[in-house]
Amino acid sequence: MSESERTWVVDRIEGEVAVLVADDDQEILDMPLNVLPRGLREGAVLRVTESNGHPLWVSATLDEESRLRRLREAETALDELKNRDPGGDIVL
Amino acid sequence: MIFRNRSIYVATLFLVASACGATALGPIDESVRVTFLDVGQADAILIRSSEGQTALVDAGRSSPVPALKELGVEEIDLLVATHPHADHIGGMVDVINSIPVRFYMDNGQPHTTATYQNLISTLQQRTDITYLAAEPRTITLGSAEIEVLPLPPVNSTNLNNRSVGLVLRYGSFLVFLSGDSEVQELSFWVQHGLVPDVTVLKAPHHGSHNGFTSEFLQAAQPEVVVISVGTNSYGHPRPEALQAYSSVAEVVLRTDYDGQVTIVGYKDGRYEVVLGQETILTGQALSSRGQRSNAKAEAVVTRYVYE
Repeated sequence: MSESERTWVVDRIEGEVAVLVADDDQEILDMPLNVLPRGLREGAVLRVTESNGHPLWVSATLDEESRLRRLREAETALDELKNRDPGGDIVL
Repeated sequence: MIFRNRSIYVATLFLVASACGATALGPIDESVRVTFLDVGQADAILIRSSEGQTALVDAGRSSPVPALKELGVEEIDLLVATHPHADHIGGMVDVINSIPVRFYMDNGQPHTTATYQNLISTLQQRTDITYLAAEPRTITLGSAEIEVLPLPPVNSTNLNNRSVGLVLRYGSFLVFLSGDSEVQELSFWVQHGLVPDVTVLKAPHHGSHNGFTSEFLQAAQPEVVVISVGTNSYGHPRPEALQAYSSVAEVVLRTDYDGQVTIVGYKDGRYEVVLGQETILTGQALSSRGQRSNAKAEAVVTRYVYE
């Protein structure tokens, strides 16, 4: 039996469903909230053990440090992009 | 129960021209075209001016490039990501890599998914694309204008409620696009008097129960509602949303039933609804309640009835 770990991120919450995006190949998966850690919110980073390629959702743990790091990096990138904004109205 | 399987009961709609002051349809090049691409449970809306400028609002869950190529899109002047959920930005990178893009706009709200990271990284590398913040400003698209609405303050972890809100104006023909905005954001716009009487409304949040309020619909008073929706496990569109939209609009269209939907708008407020190559409906934007009741009394109204 081979075990590995896969990272999934909560893209959004749709009612009782969490829409997850895989870090490695951007696979998208709908998962019922009740099989995932409590208090999940969009943007949460989940580390999930896989056994023979099957995710063990009960093993899912939240990686808060990774979530905060990703947000910081995205904010830095956005700040750079915003410097390109000429401001005001635009005529195309 | 209505709104189940597709069935068109009454096939013709003509809002009586005399009631609306409308004249014969003008040449196709004096119009703006808004095409709701059939991208499944996602959004991708193409706006084309008669002068040839093009805007794409959201890019689906996967690439909309084949559909855009089929429509003859060779350049995108403005690419808008209403918010960074995968069903709105999933196809962005492929669009950017496949079709020249001049301007890119988003709500400046970071996300943590690989889909978002990939998009932001691509934009950083593509210094030829000018970034625009979604803040109150006007984007002129030929003879049409796109008004960018203010975003509510950042006080929610829900990205839907900071979807970029756009009002496309072409004379009396108006279209309201707002991604997945929910009650909080729709109410913010209503409270600030920012919701005009429009011709076309893209149903916010794929026809979710939280994508409308009665006050919002009362302000918007759309003649046409288009729901961009596909197979999903979220219950979209919800029956209460369908009921609310059909109570205010002449016609409610769904991309899962109707496929790609194009609305051709004219400066005097007239519009045509085109499914595939077929014009199935012509009508007139009505700017007041008096006009509405007058026109409806004299009109033969066509509706799609899903049962």
